[in-house]
Amino acid sequence: MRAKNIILVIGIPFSLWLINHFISNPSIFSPYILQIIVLMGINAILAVSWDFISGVTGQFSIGQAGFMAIGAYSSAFLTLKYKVPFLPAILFALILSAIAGFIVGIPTLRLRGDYLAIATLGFGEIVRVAILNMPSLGGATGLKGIPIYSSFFSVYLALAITLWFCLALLKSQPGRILLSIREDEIASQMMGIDVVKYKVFAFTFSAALAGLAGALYAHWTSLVHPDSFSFMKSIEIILMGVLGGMGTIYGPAVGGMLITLLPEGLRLLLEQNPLLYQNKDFVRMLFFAILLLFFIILRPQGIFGKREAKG
Amino acid sequence: MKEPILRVEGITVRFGGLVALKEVTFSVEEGELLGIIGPNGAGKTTLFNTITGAVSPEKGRIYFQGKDITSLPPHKRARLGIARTFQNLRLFSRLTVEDNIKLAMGLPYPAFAPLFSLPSYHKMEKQMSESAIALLKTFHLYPYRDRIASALPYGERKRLEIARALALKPKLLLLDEPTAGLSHQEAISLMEELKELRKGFSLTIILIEHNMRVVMGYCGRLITLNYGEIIAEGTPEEIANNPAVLQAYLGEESLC
Ligand SMILES: Nc1ncnc2c1ncn2[C@@H]1O[C@H](COP(=O)(O)OP(=O)(O)O)[C@@H](O)[C@H]1O
Ligand SMILES: [Mg+2]
Repeated sequence: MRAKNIILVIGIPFSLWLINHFISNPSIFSPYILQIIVLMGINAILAVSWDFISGVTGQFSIGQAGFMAIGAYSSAFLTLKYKVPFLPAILFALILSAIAGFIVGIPTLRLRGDYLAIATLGFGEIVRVAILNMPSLGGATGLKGIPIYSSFFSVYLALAITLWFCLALLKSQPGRILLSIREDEIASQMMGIDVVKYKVFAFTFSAALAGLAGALYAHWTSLVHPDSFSFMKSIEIILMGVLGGMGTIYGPAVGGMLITLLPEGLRLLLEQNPLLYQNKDFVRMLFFAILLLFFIILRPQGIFGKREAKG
Repeated sequence: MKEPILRVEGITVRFGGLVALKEVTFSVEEGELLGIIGPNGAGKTTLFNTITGAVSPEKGRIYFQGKDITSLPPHKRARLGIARTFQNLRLFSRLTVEDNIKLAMGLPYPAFAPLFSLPSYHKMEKQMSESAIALLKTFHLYPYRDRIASALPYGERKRLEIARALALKPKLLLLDEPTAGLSHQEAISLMEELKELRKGFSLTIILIEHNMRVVMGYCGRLITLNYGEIIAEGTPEEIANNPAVLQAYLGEESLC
């Protein structure tokens, strides 16, 4: 048990570091492929962050892009304007988005179902509009020239730690408690569980992960723009989670990778046809919509979700 | 005189225009098995909801072991030792039978312990598994432990709810129609099991029962509710012969 953990703790970063050397070499892998692989890792973290609050705890959030924006902008602001190194900037982004999650969580988590969804949606939009109106954050033009600190190594190490933490929580008592809140809040309270406290914890943790993904994203693409964190981004994150299998953690990680990869395949097809290519954003949304419908009808539990037992 | 484990004083609960409980006052001695009967809609479940904190009374106070708990949130009352089951089962349907039980055991290690695989985490999880397995065996649920709760047959789900409530290590157990939906034979055997449990766990039990025949031989004392008011209190024999109770049950077939 302990030996296995020690091997993992040393082995995973070391393997990632080795792969990083190989994969970041432009003579072996084209920058285009590397770009896709890194974005797959970032989206996987986002999908897991959503799954933690929505799939596991049952609190439907449509505001993950808002937390991602806070992480992206806060870390970029520090590295760009104050030349802060990458690690402290990431930690700052984590803490700031966690605080945002905490503050948003306290009042909204008393809401239920649809109301919570609408409140988180509103939060995401408020963040975006606030950034649009902040000249120091670049307003509508965004921030450019952010140092490229993210790499295959840092993104996949962050993903590994995210998965480790989330899965460890899921299979232990805190995870059981969160699942019980998803299943039946009233019964959960009657079992002595402080439901509001656990929901705020889940929201804070989820927001921190989304902020982490945002920081990695900003330092990979080198520019951030309010439109990158719109309502559509939140919907895309939900799609990743639903497709992978809500409440499983690893399912949404795979979902996040697939939803990043598939449109690239689609793009290669579209490039053959100028008419379709002109409307590529539309075709992309249509593709996502069909994919979602397909899953809702044929496999509502997602790729990795378990089918619900009949009573 | 010894302080009663539960004291309910002048509780009034109103839902809009409907008075669900009206000036309800009674107390329960430690170790007692008290039965609450009354026709449908009498306010029995509402009384449990008020004791556990799911519903706030408009008037009145509730004391548990001498402590005023009227304004305590539900989870704190549960931690003090008040556990309940629900009339319409409220299991955590998509969790396993064993997890349903473990869940009620609180958080015995820091929340970050599993992240770093700390020894306290492994030790406490093992202890939790052991006590969960012991409880499951008591309730003949051990063979089902890895099944999803919603996949159990009805009778097993009812027993799982009681086992889950006991995982809280309560002092007071509130059972809302535990025998509903069971055959007379099953109902009697459940009552026998409860009798044993009460000794084993040194429990005080309040039991809501629609069917008086079931409680006759087991409850020392019965309270009858009708339209939110206590209309009779006494031994099962006294209640069975009380004209007001017979009147309340008129047109219902459940009283013997
Ligand atoms: N949450 C609620 N909101 C409105 N009315 C309620 C609520 N809970 C119970 N009632 C009403 O209060 C009365 C008592 O209900 P209940 O306590 O469930 O009765 P019993 O358990 O004795 O059958 C019923 O008329 C019921 O419709
Ligand atoms: Mg009832």
